[in-house]
Order: sequence, then structure tokens, then C-alpha cells
Amino acid sequence: MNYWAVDDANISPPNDLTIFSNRVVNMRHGDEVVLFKRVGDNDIEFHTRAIIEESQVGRYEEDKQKYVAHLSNLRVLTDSSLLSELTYSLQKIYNFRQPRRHFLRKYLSLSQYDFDSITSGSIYWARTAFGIYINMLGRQQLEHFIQETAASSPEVFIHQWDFGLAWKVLRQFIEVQYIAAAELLRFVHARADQISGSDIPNLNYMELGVSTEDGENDSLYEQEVLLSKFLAATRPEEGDLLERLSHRIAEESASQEAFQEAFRYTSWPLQTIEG
Amino acid sequence: MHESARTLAEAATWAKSQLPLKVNDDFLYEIYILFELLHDLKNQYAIKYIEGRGDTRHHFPRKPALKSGRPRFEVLDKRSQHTLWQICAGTRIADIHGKDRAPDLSFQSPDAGDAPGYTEVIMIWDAKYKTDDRTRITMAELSEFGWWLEVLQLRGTAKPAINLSNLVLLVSNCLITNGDKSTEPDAECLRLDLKEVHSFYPGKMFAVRP
Repeated sequence: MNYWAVDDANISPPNDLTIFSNRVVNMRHGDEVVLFKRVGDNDIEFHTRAIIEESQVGRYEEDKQKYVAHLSNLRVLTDSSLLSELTYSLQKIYNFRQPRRHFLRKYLSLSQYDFDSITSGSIYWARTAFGIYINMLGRQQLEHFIQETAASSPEVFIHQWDFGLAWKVLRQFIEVQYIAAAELLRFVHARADQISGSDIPNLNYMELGVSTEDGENDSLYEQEVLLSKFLAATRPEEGDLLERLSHRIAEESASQEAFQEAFRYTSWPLQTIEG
Repeated sequence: MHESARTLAEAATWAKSQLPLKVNDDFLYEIYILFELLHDLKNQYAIKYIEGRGDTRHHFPRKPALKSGRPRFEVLDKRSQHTLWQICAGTRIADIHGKDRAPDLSFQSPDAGDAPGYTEVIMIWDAKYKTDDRTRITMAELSEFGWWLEVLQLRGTAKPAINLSNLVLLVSNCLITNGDKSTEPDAECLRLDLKEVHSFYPGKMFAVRP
């Protein structure tokens, strides 16, 4: 039995699947399919699963064939899943910048792992958390992370498939670099406010910055605002998001074992970096 | 999670220069120490903010820089309004061989010029930020600082009579860290004429030795 994802644009209600293709369509009786539709500019939503009941292939044009199948046992997914949420939980995906590019075709084959993850809406939290954050670091920050990690936790590179460990190290890096920088700048700002005005009238925190001799002048305040936005999104009132992710990963470790097996022979899910 | 990661992408890079933000580059920590010092000094003294020159007049150096282009502070006697000391961050000082050194914070004499030499420096502080705050000041850091004190001829010299409150124990050549003290005995710090200030971080109680 094989597993497939099918663009629901090829379905004629209620349950007929028709595909014109110049390739051999080899979806067979008994194969399982999950239907998807495009959502917004960059996402797709998986919404229904079904079984290929009977299928036939006929010649359509010179080199095109017409594949027709009847779907049975249609079940709407209880939790419809977005590709943007499943990106790091699917073996199929290696284009992390534009995962929808994997779904441009009318249909595509899936591993059983991927089919199960999509239809159950299950997420490999450790790989997802690691993937989403590491792909937001720019080239130089990524190099910095790799240098720091090689020095402090080289085992992360030996067990690249251990995304629980990789997440732990990345989270720590984020906290000691960016959360600490946010704290330091907030504190400097508070102190500057306390001593400017009557004590040092011409000191204006908004003007202060850092720079090299020939480089651009970076503003402390501008960076503090950017770091504060990150802090607000990461440590909202309802609790620390990074902590919640770690907690979730630990809590679901049993259900994540299947994922660990599925991604055992993969390396880090890094998106292509230009240059 | 997507929103948090998206904001991280912006915050992790300095907005203008596009350089990566690295807290262990020390200059953020150095600025924090400078403002803690100014906050303490204002209790007893008048403080003047002196702009540098040109584009960098309000910008502290990321790396050792010329004093003239950079901002600094002057500490004045409240009554007489006489300048008692200058406080500079990350700017160069010529040592006994004429080679430039750039301690993170230097206390300079009131008449020190734009290209100060070791005779115009009274006391220095150096900042060592540790990403893991259990990390100790290393032997290399301690010996480099001790050697700076030697080539700047600051070992065994009289310390300025700075009247500080919270930072009163820091009136010395100080190696300041958010991490832990080195494993060297107090006697070695005394011999080098320096103090180690550890756990120095917002919201923490710092300690000084010897």
C-alpha cells in the first residue's frame, strides 16, 4: 500500500479524482490519500483522507493520459493541518524556505510516517522548535552558534538527529545571547534615564550607540526596541515560550520516539543560505 | 513561535551595521558597567557628558578606538566645579613602549589629552562577560590584565580618592565579570594590584576580592 497527497482541485464532487498527466499515475486500489488545498500565498491545508477504491487509466492526448479514480471512505480530518505547522515534521520537506514548493504538483507520494503525521496532525516538536529558530538566525549568527556549540557541546554534532539535545543547546544560546543583551540594554536605558536630566542634562540615551572606527553607527535604543519586541513575543505574560516548548518536548517524549526514528539519518534542517 | 522567531531574526542583527549581535563581545557589558558607575558617582559628584567628534561623537567603540572621536565623561567636584577625573570607555592609551592599549574603562587625570599616555591614566577596569555565569575568570585574562597594569605602570600606584557608595570596593584596578572569580589565591591579586569583581549583573549581588 502506498500513500499520497492530492491537490483537491483535481476532485470532482463528491468523490471522483481525475488527473491528466504525461507521467504514469501509479495510485492503486487500496492506497491512502490525503487531500490538500492552497491557503493564502504560502501555505496549504490538509483536510480530508480517503482510500483509492477503483482506478482506470486511458489515453487522453498524444502523450498525456487521463487517470480516473473513485475515492471511498472519505473522512474529514478532525484537526486539519497546515503545512506551515508540519514543515519540520515531514520527511518529504527539505526546502525549508518555501515548503509549499514540494506541493506544486497535482499529487505526490508520501512516506507512511508523513501520511500518519499529516492525518493525525502530530508535530515533531523538538525538530520544529529547533528548525524554526535556527533558520531565523542569519549567516553570521549561525556561524557564531556553531562556534559556541562546537566549543561547549560538541556532542550535538555527533548526534545530529537528536533534536531534543539540539533544541536544548539552541535555546540556551538564544537566552545567553539575545535575552541577556535585551536585559543589559534595558538596564542601561533605565540607568541613563536616572542620570540624565538634572544630573547630566546633555546626556540623551536616544543618541547613544556603538560603532567601529569606519563602520556604521548602531543605536542602543533602536536595538533595545528590536530586542524588546523579541522579548515580548518570547516571554509574554502567559509564560516563557521557550520554556513551554522545552516542557512540551519533554512531556511528549514517548510519542516523539517514532519521529526520532523517522529522522534518525537526517542532518539539521537548515534552509539554504545565500552566499 | 513563528512570531518569536521572526522578531529574533531582527533583534539578532545590529540594525545599521548588520553586524551580528554578540553579547560576549563585551562592549554591551562594558557600557552597562559604565552606567552603573555613573549612577553611583552622581551621589557625590557633578558629571559632565563630553561628546566626541564627528560621526562617532555619541558612539562608544566596539573595538579599541581613538579617544578624540568618542564620548566620555568628566567627574567634577560639586562645589568648585573642578574636573577631578575623566572616564573613557574603550579608547586607546599609549603604554611605556608607546604601544596602544585600550582597557574597557579608564580613569584619566583631568588634563589628559586626546592621545593620552600611561602617565595620564590613574586606574583601569576591564569587563569580562561570560555566557555561562558559572565560568571563572581565566588565568589568561588575569595575567593579561596584570601585564597591562605593568606596561601602563599602574601597579602599586596610589588609587584615586573616589567617593563611591555601592561600588566603594571597586576603587582599584578591577577585572569585572558576571561570572565567577579566578582560581588564583588572593595573594596573587594583591601582588598584581588588582581586584576581581564577580557576579556583577543586574539583579545580582556582586562580590569583590581580595
